[in-house]
Amino acid sequence: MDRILKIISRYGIIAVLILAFILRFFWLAKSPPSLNWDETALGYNAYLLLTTGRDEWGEKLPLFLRSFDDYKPAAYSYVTIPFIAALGLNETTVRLPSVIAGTLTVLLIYLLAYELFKNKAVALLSSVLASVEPWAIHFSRVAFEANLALTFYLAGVYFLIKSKLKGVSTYIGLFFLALSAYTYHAEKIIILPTILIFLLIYKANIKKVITTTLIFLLPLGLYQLLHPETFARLGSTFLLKYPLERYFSYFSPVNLFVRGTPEPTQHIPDFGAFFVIEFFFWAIGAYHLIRNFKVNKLLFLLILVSPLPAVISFNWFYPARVLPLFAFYSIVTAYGITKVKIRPLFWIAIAGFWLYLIFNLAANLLFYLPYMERGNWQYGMKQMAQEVTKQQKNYSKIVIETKTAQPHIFMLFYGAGRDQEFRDVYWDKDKDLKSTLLVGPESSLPLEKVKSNPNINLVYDLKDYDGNLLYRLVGLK
Amino acid sequence: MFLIILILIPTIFFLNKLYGKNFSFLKTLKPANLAFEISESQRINFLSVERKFILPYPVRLFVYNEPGLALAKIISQFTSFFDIEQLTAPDKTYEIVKLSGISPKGNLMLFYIWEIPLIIYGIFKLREKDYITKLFLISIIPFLFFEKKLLAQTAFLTIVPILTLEAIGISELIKKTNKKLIATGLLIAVVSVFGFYKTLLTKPLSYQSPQPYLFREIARWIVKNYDPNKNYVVTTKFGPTEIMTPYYLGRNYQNLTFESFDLRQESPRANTVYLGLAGEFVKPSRNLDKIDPPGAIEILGKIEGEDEPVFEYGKNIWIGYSK
Repeated sequence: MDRILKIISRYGIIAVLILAFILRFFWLAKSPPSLNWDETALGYNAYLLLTTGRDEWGEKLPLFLRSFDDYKPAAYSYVTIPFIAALGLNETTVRLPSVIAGTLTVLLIYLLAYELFKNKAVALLSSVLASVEPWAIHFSRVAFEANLALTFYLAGVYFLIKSKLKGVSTYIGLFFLALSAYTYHAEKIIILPTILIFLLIYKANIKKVITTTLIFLLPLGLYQLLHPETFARLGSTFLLKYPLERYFSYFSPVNLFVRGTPEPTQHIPDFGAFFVIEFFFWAIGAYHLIRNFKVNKLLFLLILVSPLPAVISFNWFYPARVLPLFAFYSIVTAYGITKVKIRPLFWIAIAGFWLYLIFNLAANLLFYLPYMERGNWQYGMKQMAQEVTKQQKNYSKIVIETKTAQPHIFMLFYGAGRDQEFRDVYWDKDKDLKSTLLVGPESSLPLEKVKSNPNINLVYDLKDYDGNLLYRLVGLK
Repeated sequence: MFLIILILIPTIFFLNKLYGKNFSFLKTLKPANLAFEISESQRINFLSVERKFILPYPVRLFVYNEPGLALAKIISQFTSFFDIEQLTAPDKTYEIVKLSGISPKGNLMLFYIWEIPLIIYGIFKLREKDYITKLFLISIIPFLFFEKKLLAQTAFLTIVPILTLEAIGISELIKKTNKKLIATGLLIAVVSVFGFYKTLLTKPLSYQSPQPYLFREIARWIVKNYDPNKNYVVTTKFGPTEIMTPYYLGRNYQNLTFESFDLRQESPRANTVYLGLAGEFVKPSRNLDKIDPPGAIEILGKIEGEDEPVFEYGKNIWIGYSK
């Protein structure tokens, strides 16, 4: 038995990392069922940065991508460049950096938990939980800047704990924290409180730490000041209303374990951010964490500041903005598990039920989500872009109707170029156009009217799994 | 403890008699219901791969099994009690509370948001008073028997242990905190209590379902404007007005009938006052409250509501007179 425990403690983390990678990588292009517009924009801009050094708006080596005028941090696109260079522009290469970041997050949670508790069991359990938990799997399978930022943030926190704000590791830690701010907006808000917590606990040279942080953040600050439009995202999401209610919603068990989020692309159907069985261990872990506040104050304070970015935005329970909190919760739950003293038989039963939930999660992730929630993932845009690419050589003009789905980025990503016109299609008006390919829904291109027109040379219906019409392509001679 | 157990059993029986038919959580655990849910998810998962692939039998046996689903449901039901938004601000947090299928109307907040840290603090100061945990676990039992939408009715017994925890939290905090902080905390509490009661007393429609308000207001209008020479038709479209409105009327009124009507399809009766939703006078659609009724009907007044009791039938009660 001792030998088995030794092997687990020595090689367990390797097995966990392999499991984490498999769960994140398997059927990556199939679930979620298609790239959404943000992923597509990140991928296409990475491709342009690789080939031209500029983004889609012609900006040279930008720190922010103008994209849909939402000024996304460009870090994710830069990280994606080597994958596109090696494997081409496709769904897998766009999501692969997130898969790797998610797997590294599991390792960082292991290291962090060990540094916080000096207990291998807590560390290994934390990493096991993070490798299978719904939030961790889902965010690692989508090109979310938030997921990459989480990895940088946890790396920063890890190096700061390791260094106790003394020596070279401090600079590495501060560098990673700053990097997380370059990667996602939410991290810009929590890195300063995070550093203050470390200063409070380790009582280091405040001047040195703050100066170093400011030096690392200087390019970001200057860039944003010189390009005030990069604050667009803050302008569109900022709202300071009911801050206490918003803050506590990130501690509300029903949100964490049962209900999940109303955000359509940030959940796996029927699952909260964590497995429902974890609630008990999370509560026990939190109880012991607070009871032993003096020993655990670093983790406790990090948890307290983690929801801050989400408090000042209008969304209710927005997981992408609080991923560090979820990572800390995994550690708290693992800590709770180590505090429970029950008979081995109960543990077997609990492990069995846990396994049942993991299998269910996998079934929902791989089958249910791509099928039932395809609408949330702009399913059909790829198929439409590919069909347009195939047909466009036969027409001198292409008109695509869709008001909100940012079709241009899908056209660019899937190789259809940028020569389309995006506007509403009115069959009665547009039917007399020459050498034109019209793309739209049934309501804009009614089949009966279209077929009765002698001027057409193509009617092609793009359908989904259930035979529902996604788009109709109508070619005019 | 004994008292709670004594209250518990009749409570469950009473609630079951009242709500058992429509809101029983236990019904969802019936083998037939579980089997249906499982076969539904199997069907969807099979369709998702265009019927080309099916998981091996032993895997299916494990993934789609009734005891596992039942256990997940029970634990979810228990966990769903710990819903800070529902307990403290169901109206403000509707965007997320709606995922639990609970309307913010008719479900008042049960605690102030600032009580949450006090309750949590109380938990950490419990020490030997472990009976409170047991008391809580017993008092939550009725909640486990019914759907969450009955939270206020089924979880009221938990008030005793929760308030005890809060009291412990407050008393421990007072011991450790200086007087200025206590005074500030008290001030915040008083202001928020005042704010709550101000809303409660002056804006009943902000937390009430529209139906009870409309039942009463219809009766008030009739009492005030009754003319024995006219006929009155009160709609039954949004609820049992024939039961609720007479309660407020206080006496029998001649020429008063209760029925749903559709003045687009039927000709208005002569010398009749119609009290109904806008969608019963004109075609149901959005923003009905901004349009006018057809010429044959003279609008005598409107009872303004805040929500649509019936989808696309408008928020207000129109009072229309057909000569």
